[in-house]
Amino acid sequence: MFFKVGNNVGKPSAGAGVRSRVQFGGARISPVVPFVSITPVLLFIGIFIFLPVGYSFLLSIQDYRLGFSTSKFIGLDNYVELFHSDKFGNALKNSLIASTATSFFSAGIGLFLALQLSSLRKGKLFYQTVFFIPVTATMAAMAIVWRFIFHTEFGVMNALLLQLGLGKVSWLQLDATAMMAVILLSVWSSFGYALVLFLAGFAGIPRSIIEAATIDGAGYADRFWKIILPLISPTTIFVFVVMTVRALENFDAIRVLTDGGPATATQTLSHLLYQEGFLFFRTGFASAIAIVFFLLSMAISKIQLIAERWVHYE
Amino acid sequence: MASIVGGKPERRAALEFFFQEVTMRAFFIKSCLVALLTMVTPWVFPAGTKEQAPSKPAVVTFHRFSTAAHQAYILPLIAAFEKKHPEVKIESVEHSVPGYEALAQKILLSFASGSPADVGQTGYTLVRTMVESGKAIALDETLKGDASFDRNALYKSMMDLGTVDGKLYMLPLGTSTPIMYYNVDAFKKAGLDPQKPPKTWVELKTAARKLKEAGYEGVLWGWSITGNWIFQTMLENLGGRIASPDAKSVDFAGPEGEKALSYIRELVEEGLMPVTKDLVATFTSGKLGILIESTFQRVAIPQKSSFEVRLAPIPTPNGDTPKVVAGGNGVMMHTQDKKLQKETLKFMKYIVTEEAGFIVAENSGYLPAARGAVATLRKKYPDDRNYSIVLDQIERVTPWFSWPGKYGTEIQKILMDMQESVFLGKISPRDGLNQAAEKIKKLL
Amino acid sequence: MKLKTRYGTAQRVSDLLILSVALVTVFPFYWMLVTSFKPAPEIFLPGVRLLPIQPVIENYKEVFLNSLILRYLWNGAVVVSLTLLFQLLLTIPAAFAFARIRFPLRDKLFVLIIAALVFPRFIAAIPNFLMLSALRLNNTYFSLIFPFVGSAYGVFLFRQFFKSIPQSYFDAAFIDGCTIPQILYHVAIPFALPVIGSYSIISVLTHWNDLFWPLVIIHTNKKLTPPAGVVHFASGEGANNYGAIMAAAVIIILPLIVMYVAGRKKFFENALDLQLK
Repeated sequence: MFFKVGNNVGKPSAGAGVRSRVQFGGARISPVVPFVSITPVLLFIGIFIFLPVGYSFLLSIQDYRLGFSTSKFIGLDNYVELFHSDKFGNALKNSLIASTATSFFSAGIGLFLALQLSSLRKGKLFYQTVFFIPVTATMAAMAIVWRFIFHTEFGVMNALLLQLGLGKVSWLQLDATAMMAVILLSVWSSFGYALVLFLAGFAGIPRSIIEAATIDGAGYADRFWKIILPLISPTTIFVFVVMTVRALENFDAIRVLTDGGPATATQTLSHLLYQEGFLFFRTGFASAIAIVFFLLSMAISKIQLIAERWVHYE
Repeated sequence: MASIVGGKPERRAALEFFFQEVTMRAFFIKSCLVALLTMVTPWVFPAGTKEQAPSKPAVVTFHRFSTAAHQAYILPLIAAFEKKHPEVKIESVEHSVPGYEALAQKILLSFASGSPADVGQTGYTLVRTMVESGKAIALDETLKGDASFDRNALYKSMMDLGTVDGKLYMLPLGTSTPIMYYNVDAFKKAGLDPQKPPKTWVELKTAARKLKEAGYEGVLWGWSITGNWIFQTMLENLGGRIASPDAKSVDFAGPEGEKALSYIRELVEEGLMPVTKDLVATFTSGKLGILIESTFQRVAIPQKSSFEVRLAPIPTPNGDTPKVVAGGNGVMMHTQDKKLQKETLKFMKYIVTEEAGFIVAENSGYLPAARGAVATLRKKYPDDRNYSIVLDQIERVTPWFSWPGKYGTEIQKILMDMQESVFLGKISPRDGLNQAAEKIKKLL
Repeated sequence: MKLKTRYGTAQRVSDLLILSVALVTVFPFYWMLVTSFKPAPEIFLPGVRLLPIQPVIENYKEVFLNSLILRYLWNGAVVVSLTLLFQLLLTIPAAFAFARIRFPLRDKLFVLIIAALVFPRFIAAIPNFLMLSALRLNNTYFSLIFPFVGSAYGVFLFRQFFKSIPQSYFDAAFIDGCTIPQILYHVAIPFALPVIGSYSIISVLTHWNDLFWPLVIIHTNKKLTPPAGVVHFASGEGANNYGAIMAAAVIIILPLIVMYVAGRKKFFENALDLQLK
């Protein structure tokens, strides 16, 4: 399909227009080639990404409930209901708490480790590999493991506490500790990624600057705060945002670890969306949630762009 | 190349391509082989594939649960039916969902997506929801003239479960009731008499205290069972109810509801009840003294426990005979095709026969609707004390409440979350009930 | 390169911290493994038992015989490899065209593709679900594979890479009389193999580990992918059998971890430079 032949070098120009504007290097080639090459991807992206996004907007202004009745347009009622509902405010709050805490800790631990590891000669690959394993491990499976670890009756956390003479903690049944468990799991599965991103970022810092500073007599603290930190700021912002977006989209961990937490204490936007859309089948309402979620991620990316520009001009 | 072929440049180029790009073709062919692998898959795993049904006998699509616990009685049932009626083939569509609400949603979804279910497994609590979707077929007309269908051979209480607004829509497959399981070894260690399990709520608390002193977790009421079944049981034994059948009057938030929730809250506060959804595991691990769960687990729980397990009627506020809410499920007809309706009806009628009843009762903790089957079971297991209690309760079942309208699933979640919050002490029973009632009224 | 020199206690403290983090990182895996070899009664015993009294394999037997774990793994393998295959087939030629061929609307179309990267996966989920259900394609391999085949990230990545190959290589081949497809196949792709490798790893990781979409679109047990399958097992059949649940988890994550550890050098060399560019 893609491998059609279209080599027209040497052929006299067969007409003006499109043909003459399709070029490879300096030579004219048949427009069939690029057309055939890009159409399939565009088709799939169109059908499975753009079309759904558009349809989402349409759905979000309907009162559509799958399997029951036909839908009717209700304008912005879904959004109104959404913003007035407790469950949305709760989910939003939880999403923000979970993702900021996760990205803060992941990036923080990642940065700390990157700084330590960067000065190692041997063992760097070993530690990188180890710290990155949680990133590759299937989150659903590891969430099951962590859920078992935090199990009130049979979990090793409480077994340890009991052995130390302290009392049991109902980790997954108290709002605060359940959220902490979610954050712990998210950080555990992400910090390795942050670490690797930081290490890659460090590689771009020229050695000469550090050496020049050392020669000039700058102390360790000076070196760190005045030279290293500014140089890694762009990377830091980048890592921070990657971690935040990753944490926002986190569905697997919450669904498996707490399924929204004791009552809805750890229910995030992604979980709420799943619940409304695929458990209650309130298709219109869930689409509104999806749109809001999308706008939220856009906002965060926008903040990143601004922060990055600010950092670069500093 | 060119000399052999000659002719127009395009044709030459095309043939050049054909002869030269062997490696690309090989790559392409490899990809096609891989794609073929997917199609091979059904034959790699023949055991699970039911979708390749031959088309000669009539095919009835049956949507149901996929878990092993349900397969244990359904698969033999289907096999026995197909043996008796070789002109009908039951094609199961299994759903891996956690509860009756989700199963009902999947069945409704099947109507929307163009491959509708002919017959579906529906929990008693959702019969109304299915009827209100407009996709359930009433059975009275067809069954009236049917000589082979003897309504009297079936328990009226169970048949009532399938009746909405005077019309029969569902035939019961298996029914369970709430029951108390207790750990005999734990009782002995705690100084309790295994022959005299607690009968009243007060006695239950005392027993739980003794169990706690002996190092056990006291009692666990199965609050997290799907459909808020235990909550309804407690309400009814206090003389209350969840709501009026048309849900115009939402009654669970009344004084009975408060009493029920406060009772459990007190148990939790004293450390006599763990707040967990892991009902069976906590009991079978030996850490729990008393579990209030479903008779559906009648076979599974003793099997998984390394200690002696006995069954007893659940404790009631005053020690009266407990009112028991029917748990379980039945089958409802959804197909609009007249011819297929006949075949589907054969299947549904078979399910309530004595023979089928045996299969259900022997392979699960459920009890069938056929009176004859239950009578024979009683004779077959005269010495099984545990079983006889189960058999006794079956005549007294009250309906599992079924919320009208589209929001059954959400309402059940609101009630479940409310209970969890109350038990964990996050909100008082009165406030929790009021909040839940408000949310539910809004949805209705 | 050294970013800081460490002295004495500072070094010891940071070493200790690194060790602690490493322990926390590894512990869940250890615990999962150990529990999977404990018999059920032992799991319920109080106290922290770091090693089984007597390791047993009955949990693994239970998982292999009484669950569809092999089927889940097969589904995972099929879905992941076909997804990757089609992704490569579609994105590489497109990326090459965007990188090296000038045609009208090229840049605008490319921006369009980049725009697709902006959307989180959830926003497309509901409509895709409706669409596939209406076509009766829900609960099929098709529905697990084809929504992801149009990989904007792939196009972006490969275009980036193709741009970095000096045009002279292509020109040389072109002058020699090669057709575009031939140039693609014989020149561009061989250069791109490392990038293709990294992309493949990312694609395989993402789609093997995806829980959300299979949960949405698949509703029969035997068609579940590994994450959805293990979740189903942990809440259904094996609900109270923690040993078996841990065994299932081990089986599910093992393939990826083995692959990752085996290919770690290549992975770290290639994959992450691309992230930053």
